[in-house]
Amino acid sequence: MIRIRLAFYSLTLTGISSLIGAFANPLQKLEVWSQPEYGAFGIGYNKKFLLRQSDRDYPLGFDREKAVKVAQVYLDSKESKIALCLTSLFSSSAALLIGGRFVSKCDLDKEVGRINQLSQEQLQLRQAKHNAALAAKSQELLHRYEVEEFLSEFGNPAGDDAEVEERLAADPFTRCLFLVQDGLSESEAVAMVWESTQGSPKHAERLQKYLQWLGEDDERITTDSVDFRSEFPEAMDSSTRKAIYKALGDGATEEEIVREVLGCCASKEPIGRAYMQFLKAS
Amino acid sequence: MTSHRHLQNLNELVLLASGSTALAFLARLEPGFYFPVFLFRTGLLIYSGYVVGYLEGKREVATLQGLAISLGLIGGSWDDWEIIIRFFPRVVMTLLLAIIAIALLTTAILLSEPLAKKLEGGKGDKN
Repeated sequence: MIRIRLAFYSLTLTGISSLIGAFANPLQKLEVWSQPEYGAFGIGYNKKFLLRQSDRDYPLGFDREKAVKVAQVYLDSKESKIALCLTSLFSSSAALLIGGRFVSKCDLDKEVGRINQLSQEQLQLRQAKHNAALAAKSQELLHRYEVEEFLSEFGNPAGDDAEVEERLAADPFTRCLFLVQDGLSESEAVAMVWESTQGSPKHAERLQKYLQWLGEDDERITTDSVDFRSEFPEAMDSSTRKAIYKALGDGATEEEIVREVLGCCASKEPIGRAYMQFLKAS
Repeated sequence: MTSHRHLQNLNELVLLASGSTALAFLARLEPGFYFPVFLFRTGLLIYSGYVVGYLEGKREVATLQGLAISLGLIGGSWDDWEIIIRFFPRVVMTLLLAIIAIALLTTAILLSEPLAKKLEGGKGDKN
């Protein structure tokens, strides 16, 4: 590799220096002749002629008898100039050919480095998100314990805390988060909670839902601005509200209502959820 | 490692410039080639100026080409220019004045209001 690099540098240097060298020294023999002339008003002046080796004939108005040679270049370096020009041509094209290889390699290295950095950043972002979710949940739990302590100290007339605890344990997503906290990977935790084998489509769906749930705060902001009027016109409002009340009376959860009563599955789910929020609020 | 990219560009420039110099030598040693070489060089120079000024992409290559043609034009007959500057100063003065006049004229035309508006309008349409 180092030899190729050295060859590249030396060829580049040769190309540049021989090109500059080719500019110097005269290419051909030439003479400068001066010829006295008289204008229409009898004013005399000197007309100069440049005679080159390659000229076929004397220039127009040149008189060999009257003219005097004032300068000459007889030491031409035609061969060396042409040789230097050709050297520059060949060495620069060789350097171009050699350089093409490791310039493309450098470009590739740069691209690989860029991709590595990008993936590292993504990983860090993901970890930060996970940590934030864990912190939020732990704070919620802490708050519950505090409430519990408060209730045990001052008495609890309704006995709500038992119900809250039960509901918390029944929530599969929270259980999944606990498992992840214990050291399992996300997909293992999801597989254990929903009892689905890893790699099956159902498992993938659950995993995606879990990940969505982790970032649900972001989602809630976006659902507010979802335009559901294209899907559910105003005429439908009252009948849909009745249907939802009926479903709630039958004991259906919010997710089931969105999926079954409003008929919003997978990609349309945010629209259905936003519509339900709107109905609740009105 | 980006220095290799610059060296590569330099090599390309040297290659094109040495080709241009070889053409200049040919035109000087064989006067029959003078006019074709002159036409070729002028046409290429104008075309690369057009590419640099108006077309997107390939701008680097066109810049290199223009530079190489100018280098060949000046360097290829530098010994001749030395004699001309020394014994025929009037030619050099005329040439310099012509170049300055062309540059001023071009600048004036490009900066004049109707043309500037036309250029901006064209760009606006593209966007």
